[in-house]
Amino acid sequence: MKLFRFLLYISLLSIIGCGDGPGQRADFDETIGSAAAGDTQLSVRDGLALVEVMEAGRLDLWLSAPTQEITFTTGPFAVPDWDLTLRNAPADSVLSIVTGDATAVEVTTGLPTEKHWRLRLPPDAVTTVHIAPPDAWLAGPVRIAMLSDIQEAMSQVQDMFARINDDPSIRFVLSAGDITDNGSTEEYDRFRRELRGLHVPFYATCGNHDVSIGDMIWHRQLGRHSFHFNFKGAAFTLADSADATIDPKVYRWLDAWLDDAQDRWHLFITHLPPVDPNGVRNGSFSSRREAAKLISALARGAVDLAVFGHIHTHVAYTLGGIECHISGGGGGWPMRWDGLARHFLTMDIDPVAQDHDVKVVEIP
Amino acid sequence: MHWILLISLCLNSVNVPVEENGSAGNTTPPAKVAAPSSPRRGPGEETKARPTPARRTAAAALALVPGVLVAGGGHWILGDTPGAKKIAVLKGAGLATFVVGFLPILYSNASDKVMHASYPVVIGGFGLFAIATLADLYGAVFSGRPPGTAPAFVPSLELEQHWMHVSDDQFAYDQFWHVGLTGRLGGARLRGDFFHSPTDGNTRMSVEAAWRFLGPRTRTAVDPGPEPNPSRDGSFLELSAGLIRHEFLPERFLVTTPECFLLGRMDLRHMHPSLGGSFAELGAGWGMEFTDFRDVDGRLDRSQLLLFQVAYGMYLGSGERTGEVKLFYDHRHDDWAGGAQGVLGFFGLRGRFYFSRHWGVDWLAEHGTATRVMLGVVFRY
Repeated sequence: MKLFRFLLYISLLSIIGCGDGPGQRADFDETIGSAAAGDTQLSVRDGLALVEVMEAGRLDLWLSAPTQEITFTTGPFAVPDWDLTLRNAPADSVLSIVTGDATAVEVTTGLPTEKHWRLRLPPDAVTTVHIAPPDAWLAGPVRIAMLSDIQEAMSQVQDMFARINDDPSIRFVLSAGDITDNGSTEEYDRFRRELRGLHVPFYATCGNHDVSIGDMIWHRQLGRHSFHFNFKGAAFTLADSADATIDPKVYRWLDAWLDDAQDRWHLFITHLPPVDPNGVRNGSFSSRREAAKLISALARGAVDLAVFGHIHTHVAYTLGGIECHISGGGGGWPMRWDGLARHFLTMDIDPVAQDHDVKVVEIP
Repeated sequence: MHWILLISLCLNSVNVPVEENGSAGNTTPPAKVAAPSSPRRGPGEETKARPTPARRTAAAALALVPGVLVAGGGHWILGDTPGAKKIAVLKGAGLATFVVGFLPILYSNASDKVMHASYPVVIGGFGLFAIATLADLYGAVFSGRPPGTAPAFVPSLELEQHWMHVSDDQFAYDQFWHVGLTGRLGGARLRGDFFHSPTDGNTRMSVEAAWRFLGPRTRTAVDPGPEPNPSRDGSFLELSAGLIRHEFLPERFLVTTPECFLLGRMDLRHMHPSLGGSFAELGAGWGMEFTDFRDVDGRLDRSQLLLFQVAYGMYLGSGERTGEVKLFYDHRHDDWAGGAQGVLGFFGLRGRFYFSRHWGVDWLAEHGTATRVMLGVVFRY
């Protein structure tokens, strides 16, 4: 069965390789975070939230970052009252109205990562709101977790979530992808149900398994494939390398993100290691030249830490002087004889001191 | 692979007149092709029957689909049962080798502890499998036709100049020019290459030294003469060591790669008469990349490279006007073409033809994540 699935994946990857998967996904990314209903237009800055529902009086968003800037542009006939639901949001998020005369009232929900507000938007106005934890803009120490390559071990993911929940200092979980085993809608639905057991948000870029069926599902379930955000003075970049390459359009975004974070502590995450520490295996980018180009750009951009998935073990090594970790310990096809159980990483980041500490947390 | 089928259909649509003992002006005897419908023929009669174009087309089609999985189908359709059996054995050996190498990788989920031993076996099995598949196709299309022969002589000196185009949306370069020089003395070979892109200054230089243990070597004062020699054997076994220095100016890194490579070629007429005029190559090696990032102080990044090549080719022409063309897979991920997808390397088509004693043309097309084409002239002495 395992061999059959492997051959199936190879076949699927071969088919995908004939298309423009990365380019198409980058195009999708540009459409995320914009929508309109009636006389109201919505724009989420940098596409950091997926608009799941926008209809008269109702707006549901799935967040890809802990800090959000949302702008509503209303016309004369706009519906004034809106139910705003944010999923995958930090539990301590607060909504502040930056510009405009809107009002907002928070409504309690049952899930820690689901936030709900009743918004009243004035007509013929531009209203900008910020939604973020109160300390999101203050530089200071932060602890996050990193969990990748869950795949067929999704049925066991709750024990990893429970371990993360046990540590209230973890602010959110990042992932280098391969959340699903074959990228089907059913798997994404299942994973989103599983996320209800996690008390902090989960932000991810896609892996090769997540797009093995096609490129039409991820962005409808989890939003952007490649994105960048700031939190507590640190910069976080997640880039799509599911096809063992990064699309040129994403490289252009990356240039801007690297410039933006040049003077800040910066974490870079992508699914495939640009270079596999075991060069014979080559579980890495298709082109070593492109890998070197990426590493050169990251080094020039003063990235402090890079984390990858894809290889189902943990390896710490350096590329271009940057500390790198491969952490594919989410449970999918675990590598034998590496002395490791399923695992995730915790990262203690001090953006002020420009320092960090990475630890492996095993789940026996 | 569809283009191969197309070529075979075109070839089969042309009714090439061939004499019973070879084509006019060519002393090469035709390869034996048995007639499938005459099982009671005597040994001397089997060379007289020639497959119809329709049967040959069917054989070529079967060699491809489902020939990739069913061994020797093309030869079997042509009634060449011994050839089909040999191809089946080769394909079976390739498949078995692949499985033997792959099982530890599958079981361990690509553990570091098995990769160095298992991965070359996997790729070697793939190589044998690919050679068997292409041999079946070659025999189905070309058996019974006058085969090309191995080059009349091994030149002491070859000077090449190419125009090269690389289509890679990750890099600004596209146009290159290349100059290469190869010198041989007996079994020794020394080669140097220089590539430069005026587009962005990308430059690659390499040197390679090789020793040929088996196979044709340079000889002095030997005139190959105009007559073809079908018994000439192009098979060889060669060990090489090289050094590549590739500089990416705008991207600000420099890669230096020492490597060694063992390459063997076998003329496949040794395997079966229907494969006369074709050859297979299999090679493996190892390299170590040292990457110097200009914006990083300190030691260089190091990374191993598993080198592997498999090729199936055919000789073109005979006498002085000879050449060859080959379809190949190269496991490199560090070349212009990059890998085709993840762990896969790239595929390509390479050819060279000397239209006189000294002058020839050389061409190359490769496709991985990028596409590279080369066209140039070659002078030999």
